[in-house]
Formats: sequence, C-alpha cells, structure tokens
Amino acid sequence: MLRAQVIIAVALLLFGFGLVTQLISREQLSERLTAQSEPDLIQIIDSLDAEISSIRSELTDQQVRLVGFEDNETSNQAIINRDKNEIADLRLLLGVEGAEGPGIVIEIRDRQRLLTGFDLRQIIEEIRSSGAWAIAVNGRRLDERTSFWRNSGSVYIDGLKLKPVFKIEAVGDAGLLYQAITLPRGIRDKLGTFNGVSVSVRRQSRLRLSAVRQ
Amino acid sequence: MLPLIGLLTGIILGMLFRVPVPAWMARYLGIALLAALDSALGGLRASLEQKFNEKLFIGGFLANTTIAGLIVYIGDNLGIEIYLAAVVAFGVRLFQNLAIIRRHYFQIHHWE
Repeated sequence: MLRAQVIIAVALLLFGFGLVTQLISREQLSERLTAQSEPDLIQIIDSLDAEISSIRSELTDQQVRLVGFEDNETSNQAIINRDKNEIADLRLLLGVEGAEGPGIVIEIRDRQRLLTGFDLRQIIEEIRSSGAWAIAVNGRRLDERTSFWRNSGSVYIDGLKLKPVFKIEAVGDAGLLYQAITLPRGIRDKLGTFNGVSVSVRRQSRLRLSAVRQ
Repeated sequence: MLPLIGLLTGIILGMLFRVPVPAWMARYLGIALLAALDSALGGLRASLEQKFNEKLFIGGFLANTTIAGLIVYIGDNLGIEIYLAAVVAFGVRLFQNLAIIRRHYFQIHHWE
C-alpha cells in the first residue's frame, strides 16, 4: 500500500515539475511579447502578415505553374498548329508558294489606254478585302510589295509594262469575289463608264497561280 | 498524503530549476502532462480500490505520455488535430477517476 503511494507520489512529482515548467515557459513567452513596445509588436505583426501574403502568392504562383504544366502538352500542340497555319497563310499571301483553288478571272480591255495603276490597285484591293488570298495580273503573281504606276499611256507592274488587256486572276471564294466585282455601282460599273473600257468577270472552279519566285 | 507531498515537491522543484521549454515543445509537454495526470489519478483510484499494480501503473504512465506526444506529432504532420481526441479521452477519464476518488474519501471519512 505504501509502495503504491510512493509510486503515485513520484508520478505526481513528475507531473508537478512538468506543470510548473510549462506554466513558467508560457509565462515567459507572453512576457517577452508584452515587453515589446507597441511599434515593435506592430512590426512583428506586419512582418508576419507579409510572410503570410508572400507564401499565399507563392502558392498561387505554384498552382498557376502546375495548371500551366498540365496544359503544356495540349497548348504546345495548339501553338505549333496555329503557327503552322499562320506560316502557310503568310506564304500564300506573300506569294512564296504557288496557289491553287477556285476563283475568278477578270478581263479588262482598255482600248483607249485610259486606265491607270490606281484603277488596277482599286480592283485588287476590292478582291483582296473580299477574301482573295492569291492574285495575279497578266500571269504575274502579286505580293505585298507590288506597285502599279502609269507612264506614257502604259500601266507598269513592278517595272514591267502590262499589255492593255489586263487579266486579273484571284484565288478565293469564287462566289464572294464575283459579287464584289459585279456589285451594282461597284467596280465593274465604275470602270465601264470609261470610254472603250470593258470588264468581263467569270468564275472558275480551278485556278492555278505560280509563286512570285520560282 | 504521500501523493500530495510528491505533487508539492514537484511544483517546488519546477520553480527552483526553471527549465526552459522551447515553444514547439510546449504542445507536446501539455498533452504529456494531461496523460501523466490521468495516469496518476488512475493509480490513486486503483490504490484506493486495493487493485494497484505497480507494473501496470508505470507502464501505463510511460506509454500514455509517450503516445500522447506521438499523437500530437502525427496530427501536426497530417494536418489533423488528432491531439483533441487524446485531450477528450484523458479528460473524460480524469473526471471519472476524480469522482471515484472523491467518493472513496467520502466513504472513508463517513461523510455520507
């Protein structure tokens, strides 16, 4: 019986010792905090706040990165496809590659040599804005640098003299292009008012234009 | 009487030595203290009921304090406050033991 009491006494001794140790160290901790002046405490809180927000933003960054990594494969493929398409479009527009497809052929006869490079440019801009992606004048493919001008009764394209029968071939949506040219009071009607100028437009299911540089 | 003397001695020793406890250890010590108190009261009750077994008591005392600390550690690492389970379990038993001990003393001193 006494033995039991002694053992329990030892256990309670350990408990009492631990209890006081715990109480004292907690008190010291709170004393340390109360000993700090108010600005110090504000600074401590500020730095803790800053730490929390930086950890939060880091977490967000990491989550965004994770999502990015997960999407990476698909998005990479999408970027490659998009770039490929863009390059193909640009090659067509720049006339680097030969073009083939449906389109229209416009023939302009100018018996009195009244038309200027400006008139031709107008037609070309009209069909370009109607979605033509490859255009050739008298068999010569146009690119973004093509220039037209008129000198002593002849129209020149990139320095080459054009015969007065202008044959404009455009690859694109044939229906749309045809409409753009034959619109009432459109470009065909306007050119038709010139003396000796006749414009004929015909749709073609298959046109083949060569590249600017072979 | 002896247990009371032990408790007081422990308190005095603690005040004399003032062992510093690192902040991270405070939680462990807290739960270990609860386990120790539970064991001590359990032992007191067993001795009053004449059922005290010293091996059982010492084993229980050590195991309870260690496992309580372990539970806090596991809880901290899992992000779950499992130590609450230990607090509840020890707390409930502590009050039960206290009630039984109180009743014993009442019976011994014929206060009923």
